[in-house]
Amino acid sequence: MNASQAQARVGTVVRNVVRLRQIPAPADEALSDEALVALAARDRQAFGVLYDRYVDAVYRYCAGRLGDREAAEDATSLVFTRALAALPSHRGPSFRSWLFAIAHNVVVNARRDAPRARSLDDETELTAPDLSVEEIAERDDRRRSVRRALALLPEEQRRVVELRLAGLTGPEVAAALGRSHDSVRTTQRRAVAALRTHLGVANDSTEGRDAS
Amino acid sequence: MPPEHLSDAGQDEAIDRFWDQIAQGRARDAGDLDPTTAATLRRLHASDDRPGPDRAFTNRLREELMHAHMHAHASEPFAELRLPLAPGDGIRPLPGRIDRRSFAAHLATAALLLLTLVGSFFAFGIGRPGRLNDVPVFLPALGGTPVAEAVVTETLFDADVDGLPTRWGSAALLRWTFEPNSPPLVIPPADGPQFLVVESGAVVATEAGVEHALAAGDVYTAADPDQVVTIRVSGVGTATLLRGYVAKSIPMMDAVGYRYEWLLEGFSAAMPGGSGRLVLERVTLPPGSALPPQEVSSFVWIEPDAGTLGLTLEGDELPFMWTAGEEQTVRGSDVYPTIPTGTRMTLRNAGDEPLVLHRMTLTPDAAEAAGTPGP
Repeated sequence: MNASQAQARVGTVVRNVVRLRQIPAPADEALSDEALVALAARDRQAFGVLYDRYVDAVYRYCAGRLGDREAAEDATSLVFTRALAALPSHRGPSFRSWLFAIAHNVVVNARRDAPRARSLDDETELTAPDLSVEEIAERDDRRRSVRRALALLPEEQRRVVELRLAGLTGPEVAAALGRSHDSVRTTQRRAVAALRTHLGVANDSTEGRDAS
Repeated sequence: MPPEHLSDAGQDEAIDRFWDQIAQGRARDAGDLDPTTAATLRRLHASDDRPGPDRAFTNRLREELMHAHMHAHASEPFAELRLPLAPGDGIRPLPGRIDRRSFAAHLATAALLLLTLVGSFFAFGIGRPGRLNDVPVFLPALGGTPVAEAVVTETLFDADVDGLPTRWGSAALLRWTFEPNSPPLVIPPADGPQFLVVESGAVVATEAGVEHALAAGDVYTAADPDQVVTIRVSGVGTATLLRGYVAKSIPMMDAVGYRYEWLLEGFSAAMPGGSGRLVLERVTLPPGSALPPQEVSSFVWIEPDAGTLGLTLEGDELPFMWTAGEEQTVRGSDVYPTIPTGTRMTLRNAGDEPLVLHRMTLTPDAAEAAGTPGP
């Protein structure tokens, strides 16, 4: 958060104080998601903290599923407006699961309604001053091979993997998709086996324990 | 335990645990996990450096969300409010406001006529029981003649609208429940057509300082997207209000002091923009009855409100945990599945109580529809 944003936030909170006459607890970035959700019922600035916390992950998830920057931005907008609208009715153990459940539904609808446009796979980060040309080429090859491997997964497996890449834990993935944890675990195993084959990792089994 | 000795369940658990560790940035020891599997997961995450969002976009969205919040909590007097169904204001009026009493009278007359006709049909015609296989439920009718109870479709809202969103847009129907002591509800502007239907009780809509008394069945349509309307209970009992819209973004409202529930929610990434016809219907199916099989459309949204829906889907791509041809039951409080366009579906009442569905249909005008890319 930059200085102007911080200033705007303070200004808004002050106005809320005047209007509501009851001072809501300030939205603290160190608070848990659940505490912020509870706060957001009185102070929607708390929702802003949740937004800051998850907007990148939600965008990346949408981009990974939709493959188009504009569609990913549209989807991200919709995810957060829906989340804000439905926040008072949110009940459940994990805000993150709930948020990504919304994202999942938004993405499913978007994929249904609109054909894929330009793929993010084609977007190469041209500026990487700390890397040589060869390293950039190698990095891009690695990215492309992973994207191709993901694209080869059955839809059900890819959904699980994309949520994992968004940082969700196993139980959170299960909650977001409305499935049992056991079912998600099975899907994960199959997905990883397929990825291992597609990526050719089976030929390099020493990588497993050494990398950190 | 050597990895090759792990059962499927053991592998499932080891993968799950290691993946959790990766997500938390502490995956240093793969434990029992097969090294190649661990390497696959590490490589997957290491290569997932797709670009993040543009900061201008995230800042703008944040501002919009906070702005929506400000609308939600607005408590100032309402300088300008919308006129219901004013001619020439962009939403063409219905032929008069729907009056619940006359509507109910018409409905009762139609139902009586229907019962008489159907009763005659069964008593004297080829539709005698035994020759009719597709009408599963019979109820005593006038004169004790058993007749089939019909599916009843009530049109709650039907109007030509414009200002439809382009590309992305949501369609929604919410029910707001007011208690006599509920504070006035502020209906904020929407960037698309929205409407209100008084479902029960009596309320007052205040618009530009002018109060409009509304009874159950009355429709109130917002015409100017830049204005707000307030609603308060005028009777002594509880009132319920349906609010529907098709909008680019979700208009925020302050939920303090009310109960609300989402009755229907859908969206499309191929909204046509321009104008069209928007219809909201309440469809009541008696136990055992069904709607004709239909194909899921981009601009028809249907969800159960009360009762038990038996839903059968057929198609190439079905929602999670759905099998083609296998019925699942969905109640109003359940999460309605996201069903891909083109899926064939059958909806029937699978319970013992009447099944009430809400169906919202948007028919884009031909000019816009012709220019809309298909899904």
